[in-house]
Amino acid sequence: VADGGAEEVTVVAGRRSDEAGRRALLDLYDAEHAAMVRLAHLLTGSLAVAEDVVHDAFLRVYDGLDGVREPGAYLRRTVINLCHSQHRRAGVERRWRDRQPPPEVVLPPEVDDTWRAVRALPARQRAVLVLRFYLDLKVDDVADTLGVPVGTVKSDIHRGLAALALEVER
Amino acid sequence: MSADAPDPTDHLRRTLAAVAAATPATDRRDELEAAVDAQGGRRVRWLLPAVAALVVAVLATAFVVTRGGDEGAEQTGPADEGTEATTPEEISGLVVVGDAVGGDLVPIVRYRERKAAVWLYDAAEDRVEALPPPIDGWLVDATTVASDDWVVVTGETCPHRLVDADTGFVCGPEGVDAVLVYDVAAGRWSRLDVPRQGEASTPTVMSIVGATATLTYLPTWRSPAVAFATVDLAADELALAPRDVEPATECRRAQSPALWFTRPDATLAHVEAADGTEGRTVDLTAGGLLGPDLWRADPVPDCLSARDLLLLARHPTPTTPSTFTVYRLQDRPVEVLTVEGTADLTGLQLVAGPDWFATAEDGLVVVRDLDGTVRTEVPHEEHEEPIATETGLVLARVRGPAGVAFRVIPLP
Repeated sequence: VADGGAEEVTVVAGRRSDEAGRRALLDLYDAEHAAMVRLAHLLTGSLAVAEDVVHDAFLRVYDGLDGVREPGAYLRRTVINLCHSQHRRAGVERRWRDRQPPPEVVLPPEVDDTWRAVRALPARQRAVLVLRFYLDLKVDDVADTLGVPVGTVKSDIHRGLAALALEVER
Repeated sequence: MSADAPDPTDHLRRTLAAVAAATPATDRRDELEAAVDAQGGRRVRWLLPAVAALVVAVLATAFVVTRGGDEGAEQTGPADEGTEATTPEEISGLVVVGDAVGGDLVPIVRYRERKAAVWLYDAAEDRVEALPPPIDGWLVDATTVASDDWVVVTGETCPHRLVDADTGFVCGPEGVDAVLVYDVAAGRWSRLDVPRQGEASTPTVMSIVGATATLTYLPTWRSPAVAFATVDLAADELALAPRDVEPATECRRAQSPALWFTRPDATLAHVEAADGTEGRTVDLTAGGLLGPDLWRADPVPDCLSARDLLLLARHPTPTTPSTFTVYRLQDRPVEVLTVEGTADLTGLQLVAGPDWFATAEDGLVVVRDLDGTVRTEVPHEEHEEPIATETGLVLARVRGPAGVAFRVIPLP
């Protein structure tokens, strides 16, 4: 390990320099940030939480980008995991960031009603539906991503769609 | 569904796409760059102070300190005993603010991106003390609770700063779940490593009653029941004692010191009081307040607890507004308060002092007597966390690099 000296660049054996890693991270940010916020919003139902989760995800992947062949996929997996973790541990880990609240999401009435119903679904059901019908993942991939059996995913899809069908019929 | 009804799959796809398209993404690139710069520059900033500290340590103790990981010299190890007065602004990094249990000490733990550190905020004195580092390493998923005598921190400990390529936020194979206990009077840390139990999560500290800490293992998708264990904090050697309870459902966002759990059919709650009195079981169906369908409801209500209060928050449905109800569970369940029409229950919080309780909702913290009478109301800033202390209500707000801001709310 060499210290940074005047240039404040630290090179660790086997790792890229801070500057190269920083550049890779910011490139990834430019390419993926908006899409990740959209995904996290759908998964958590909260734009404020989504922004925090995605910000946290970028910081987490910063140190892990070396050796990752598909940084975008790695980032997406991290965002999904964080959304899951955020739900599971909400209120236990208390994290805040000093910033302005995000703007409101304005939706057409027919979308707003269904979105409200989606947000009201249990978190795992909602996650299953988002991964299946927004990301278009196969059922097996949804199960793998969320770490649940395939049967559970199918059951969640069935129950979630049934609940939404009731809403559509109203 | 009738033949003419829209296909819910198509409707869902359109809805999700429309919501995604309407989702604004606030550009926080500057914030990210600043955070990244802070991580990178830290190695250099800490170099000289660390070398100086090392020299002093060698001269004073004749111990040689060796270090691992890629962080360079950032912090001294647990050799530093005693506390150090500081200010809330000096608290830095990603932190967890824990609960004060029956006292005025609010624990603050730094975790993840930077090495673990712990501070104590004394609400009575309005001052912060830095404790010796609990470990020479990193913490993931930290939780913490403090009484006047003990500070308990749980989390996954990492000797090196590792990132798992699959999940991105675990220690890796070297990670060890641990319970870290600080004896306030003695001024020293003790450590208990906890073997990972199958799919169970890292243990979470929920309460301290006397010298007994209660831990829970939060449910996971593969292991939906909550498991409990206790630790005798005064024992010469820390040990984990599993609690023999029925499969339980824990109140989400439960606040210590009270602990609640129910049978899967949600007909019973177990209550542990902060004063160390024996836990008792309460029949939640008495008086018709709760029914066995509670946890089968769709959407499932949120459940919060504090001392002997139980709050159930029911999320809105297409036909009914959101509501929350606070129950006081003594000999018989007693309904205290029902509030209807709350717009968003996402951030609803509940804390309770000796003779008051407070809910944080919709930009307002409302402090009530136990009979429901409003005692005072104060604005609730975003991300501000209410904490009940003996002195009164404390509102804590972590400000990232700017430290933590505390507000003590006087209670008339």
